[in-house]
Amino acid sequence: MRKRKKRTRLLLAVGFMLPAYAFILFGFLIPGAWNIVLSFQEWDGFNEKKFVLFQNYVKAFHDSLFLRSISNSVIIAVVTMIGAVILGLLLAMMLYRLRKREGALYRLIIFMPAMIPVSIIGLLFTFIYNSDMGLLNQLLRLIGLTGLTNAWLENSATVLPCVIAVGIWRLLGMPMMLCFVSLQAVPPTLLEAGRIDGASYRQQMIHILLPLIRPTIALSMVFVLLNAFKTYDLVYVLTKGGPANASMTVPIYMQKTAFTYSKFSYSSTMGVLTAIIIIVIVLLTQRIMKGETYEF
Amino acid sequence: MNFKKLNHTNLVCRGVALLSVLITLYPIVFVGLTSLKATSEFYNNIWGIPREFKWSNYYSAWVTSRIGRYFKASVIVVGISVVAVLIFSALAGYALSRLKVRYVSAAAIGIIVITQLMPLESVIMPLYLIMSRLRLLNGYVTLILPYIGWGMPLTILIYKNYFDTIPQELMEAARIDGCSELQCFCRIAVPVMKPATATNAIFNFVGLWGELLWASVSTATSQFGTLPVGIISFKQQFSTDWGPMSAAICIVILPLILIFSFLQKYFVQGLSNGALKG
Repeated sequence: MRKRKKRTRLLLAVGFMLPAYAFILFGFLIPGAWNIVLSFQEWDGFNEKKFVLFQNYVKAFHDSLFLRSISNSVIIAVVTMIGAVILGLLLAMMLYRLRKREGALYRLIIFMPAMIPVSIIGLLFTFIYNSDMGLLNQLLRLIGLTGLTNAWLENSATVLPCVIAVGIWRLLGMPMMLCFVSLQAVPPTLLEAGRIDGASYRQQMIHILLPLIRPTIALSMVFVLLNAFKTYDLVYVLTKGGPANASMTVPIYMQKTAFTYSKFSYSSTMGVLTAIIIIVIVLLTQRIMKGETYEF
Repeated sequence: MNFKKLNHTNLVCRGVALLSVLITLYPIVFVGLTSLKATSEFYNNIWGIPREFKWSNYYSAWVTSRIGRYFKASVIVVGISVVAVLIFSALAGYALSRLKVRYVSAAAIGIIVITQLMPLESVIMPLYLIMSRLRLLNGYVTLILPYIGWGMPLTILIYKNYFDTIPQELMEAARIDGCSELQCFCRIAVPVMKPATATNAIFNFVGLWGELLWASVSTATSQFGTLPVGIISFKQQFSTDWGPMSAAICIVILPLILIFSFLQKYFVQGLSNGALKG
């Protein structure tokens, strides 16, 4: 009797999950697995596939454009993450001080960019960075700093910082929101205690709140990191990887390799390497942020 | 108590907050204003509000640059995908939370974790090859099938976490009254999970409404395309026409802002629930 019940439960569970996992299988797992297999093969889309073991991987490590794209990807993601999390955390702490209604409105607005499509954000910022009519240059001219005007996206020295700035603008709201929510969960009595002991607001923040919300900070770091690695839309719209590959990132290089040059297997090799690097960086971040968690 | 100092801190906090709000809003407001300016006016009056509202920018974006057609395609693709994701992942999330079956549940959660760490970019190309082999590269299905799959993991997770917070007794009672598992799901779980559904609906809508990579790769050879694809091709053709260009951008953003402002309560709730507990 009991066994039968268990069995019907198993069947039910599988039945409930089947449609969802069929789609996951189709959208993630099969292409992902095929990607790994392809990365060990030599294939241009027409001829026979043949296994070449690690040849593609060796090639990737000697491909200066790939190395450059991966370092660009990592730089963009890590710097965006650091900037967005630090600024988001600071903002959360400042908004924590404001009255409820007022703070809620600000939080909502600051969070807004996170839900605008990245491609659209890219377009918004082409208006800002445009070299003759762009807002940034107009503003600089307006305040008399004509010397600082720049062809922001056409200059290989400024292109990466520009992309990173957009990333921070876009993602800032996430760590802000997450940190704010967990700040609110801290019982005010703890701060009260600090205040009675004569701690200033800054001291209360650093010594009381910061350690308490550390897990949330770690989480928002991972959150932002995973988002900041998705550079395709943004970089594609802003620069397409230019000028002269100065802002080339892996997703763009990969799609170009596959769909422009039909080097499908090499493209998938880059995909596997990128996945590994992302996972390593995420694990490292979690490792660095690991520490005592406090119950309250 | 040091009253003066406290006020000072508050002032700084408010100042910084207002500055961030300004920086966040300005690009969006700018596009809104530009979308109503004639191109000639734009060059003389970049910063100000338009002297004369030029609604024809919207007309020309919608009709002449065929943003309307892309809009329709986007509504169909995103609409069907979001509904499908919600239905299937609600079922799966319910099963994961309520019908705990040892190995199956563990494996199912494991799969979700794996998909979260997989960069979507590395799935695009094999998927394209699969779809072209299945001859599915010609229309709505091309986009809808993968979109459903991609939305699934996070949505399942949020549903699961949500069901976990619903007291077991609620379901037990229904079960004792003779409800089958499916009846339990439809009669008890579905009405209770409204907040989670709102969150998931927004998450998926926002994610898919602007999806560019797969949409541009898979529709490269066809006439058909979604809004982001349409806008990018618009930009390549008329990049100096800032007025209609901004109008097109506004057409994309507007539905998002509307949805977000109506349902923002759930959005924030869901973000913190899904992310913090997940």
